[in-house]
Amino acid sequence: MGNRKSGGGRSGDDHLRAWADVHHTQPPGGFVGGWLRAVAAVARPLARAGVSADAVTVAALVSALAAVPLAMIDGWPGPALACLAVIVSGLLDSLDGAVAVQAGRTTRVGFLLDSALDRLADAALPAALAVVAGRGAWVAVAAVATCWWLEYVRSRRRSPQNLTAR
Amino acid sequence: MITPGERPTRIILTVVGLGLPPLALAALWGQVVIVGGSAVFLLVHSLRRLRRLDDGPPAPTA
Repeated sequence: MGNRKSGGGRSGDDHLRAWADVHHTQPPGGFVGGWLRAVAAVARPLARAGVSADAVTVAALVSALAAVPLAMIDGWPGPALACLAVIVSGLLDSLDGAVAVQAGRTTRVGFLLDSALDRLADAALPAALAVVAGRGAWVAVAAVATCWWLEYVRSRRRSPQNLTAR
Repeated sequence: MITPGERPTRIILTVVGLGLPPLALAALWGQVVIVGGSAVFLLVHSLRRLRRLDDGPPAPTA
């Protein structure tokens, strides 16, 4: 967090170690490790080209939000375009942190922006599903609520205050 | 801690529901069950961990 290094481009192992530092965990192996290496390979040229990780974060949100109006288009194109928007959003969401790590510019601002905008994107996904289903608005509300609850519990369990306060 | 209710799962369920509209409602229910179950699991796990910390030596205060 707040790490700023000049240049751009870390090796796969270096990228995994930096990712683990940011997420307060061990470098992952298996499928997750392989996925992160692949994302790092895509992020490397973007970081070298000076693409901002925050811009990628915002683009991911815009793509997720676009899924809702796209899902309203009649016939098969609506759900298909919404599906494409969600896929693009998911890929961009994987990419923003990788661009930051590759550029050596992982910042507290980026961490908060990513988390906050992800919660908005989380709300857009069930909304798009409810539009396509044509019913289930309350199920969509429940899906958003459970999603935010999970992320809230995850956030609070890491909070340093829970070591000293009740 | 990684749970089954992480963002990739939510995105995959959404893609399935949008790609196959008859499954959209099932995908919504799937999110409620998987993400809700993950939240309950994470909460219980965290409460147990914090209770062990509370029962241990007192944490230093500022």
